[in-house]
Amino acid sequence: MDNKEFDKKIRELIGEFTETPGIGSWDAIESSLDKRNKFGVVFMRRAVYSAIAIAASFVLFLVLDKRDAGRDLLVPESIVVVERTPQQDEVADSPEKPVSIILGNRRLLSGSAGKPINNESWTGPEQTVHISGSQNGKVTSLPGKEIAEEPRREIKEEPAKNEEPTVKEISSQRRGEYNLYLSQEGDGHKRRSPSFALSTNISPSTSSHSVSLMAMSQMQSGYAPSNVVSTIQKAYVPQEVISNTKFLMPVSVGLQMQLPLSDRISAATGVVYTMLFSHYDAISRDATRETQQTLHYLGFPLNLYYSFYKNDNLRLYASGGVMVEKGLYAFYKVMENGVPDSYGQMIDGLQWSLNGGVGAEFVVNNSLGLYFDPSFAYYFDNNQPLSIRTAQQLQFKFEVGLRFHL
Amino acid sequence: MITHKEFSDEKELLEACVRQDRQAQRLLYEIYSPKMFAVCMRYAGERERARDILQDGFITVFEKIGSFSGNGSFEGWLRRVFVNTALMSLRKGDVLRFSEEICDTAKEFTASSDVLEGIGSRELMRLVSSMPSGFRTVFNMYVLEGFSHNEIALKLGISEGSSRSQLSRARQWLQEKLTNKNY
Repeated sequence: MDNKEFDKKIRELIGEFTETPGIGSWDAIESSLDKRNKFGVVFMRRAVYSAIAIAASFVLFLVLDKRDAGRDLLVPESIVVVERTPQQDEVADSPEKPVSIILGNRRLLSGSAGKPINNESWTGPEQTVHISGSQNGKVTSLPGKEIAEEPRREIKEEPAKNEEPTVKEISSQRRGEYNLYLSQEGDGHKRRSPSFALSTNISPSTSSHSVSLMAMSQMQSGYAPSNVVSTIQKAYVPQEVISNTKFLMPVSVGLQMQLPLSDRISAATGVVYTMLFSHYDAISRDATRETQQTLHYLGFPLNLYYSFYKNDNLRLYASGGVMVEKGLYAFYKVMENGVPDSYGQMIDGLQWSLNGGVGAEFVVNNSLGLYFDPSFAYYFDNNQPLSIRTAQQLQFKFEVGLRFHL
Repeated sequence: MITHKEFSDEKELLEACVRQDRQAQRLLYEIYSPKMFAVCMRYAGERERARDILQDGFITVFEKIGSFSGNGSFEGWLRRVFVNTALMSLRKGDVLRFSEEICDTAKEFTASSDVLEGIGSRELMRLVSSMPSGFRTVFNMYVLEGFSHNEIALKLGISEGSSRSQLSRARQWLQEKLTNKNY
């Protein structure tokens, strides 16, 4: 008996064999179907709630930050018991005489009704009050170097008196009449602190670009037969096939830390997770096959930033650097004549790339910036799976993100 | 085959399943689960794993039934879904391990003519289910599902030569068991 005959007999014997799965099997399926339906609803609901919570937190953060910026925030409300006790003649003679309040290395100046003042506009002597800090909501000590000619005035915890407004009253009752300014002394240090960026990255320019994998496989002879992701072309190219390949928009999310090296130059590194999508359709006389390939990469960039313009609201910069990426996994979802299948494989090797571009960061507040970084990246041929990067090695990227300044 | 009063034919039943009609889904399960469970048993080798595959397979069927074009046999489509589900499950469990040594020592096999005489379907099923996983998978795919070695190699991530060797070894293994009545 040859193999064919043997196989035929086997098929006859067990090809149509049936076996009852047992009690409870349908119940398990039904329960699983119910769970999936519920999971879909719960997932959507949770996603909506999470989005609302994140948006609300962000709005709250902005609102609180703006409110803080607009008032004399250096002294918490609970400890604003500092009372200016000027001499009677000063009150009478010079109502617009400013008071300089110093907290740590910051200096606050206050002016009078409808007329904000600054150092330049005041020609007379200024009064100086030093506050070193607070503990448990109380002013603890008053050391400090005087910057004015007049002797330092003591701060006392006393109830407010009628003849002169307290700092608290100034801040809460006469807002708009008095302005307080932060001197720039403390800012230089702040700008040299590291910043963290949370970003997402897309390559919109080539999102709908179509490349024939068959044509590519003929052009690029460097592909090893064992290359994991030439699997698409190896697996699903039947004879006399009409095929089409689409590389969809790559998406990245990343976390980056930027360290200032000088006033204008900073270095950044971090971690970037990227997903690359490809879609392959093949239609032959008796079969249709759709294959979706998803490649997962984890990258480690090293970039330099050079700021060429900076003001209070905007920072413009150029950037350039290198990134190495490790392919984590290639996942395939196949639909062959309507029958679904899926499998995955590891990706060997590393993907190296160079990138350069310009960017703009819009200052949202003292600790947060929204940035946009259009850039170009060149992906070297590192025998990686077929993707938009191998099809078109020079990629335009558009990165948008939030930068948190510490 | 369709016995339920609400569904006059298979097409109507399938349309109801596309609408996620639970009664239709249950009827479809009752009609096809014995055949599909046998398929699962052949691949899984053990009842518990087969039951899991059956469950996953039916969930996939109910989710994807809308993609069945209506051309060709529904049972054929269903069988492919279950075979793919079984292969996915075996891959997850790292059951599909193939030894190259086995490939190297594979021999041509010629079965004696009376080797299958007197054996019943149930015994043969039990024998096939108890094959080593690599043999069993390739044997099932080639002999019972009709995949080519090229297709098997691609689906299992092995070489065509390895697929041929596994099949040859599987036949040899089965013949030895049948000859010795070791079932």
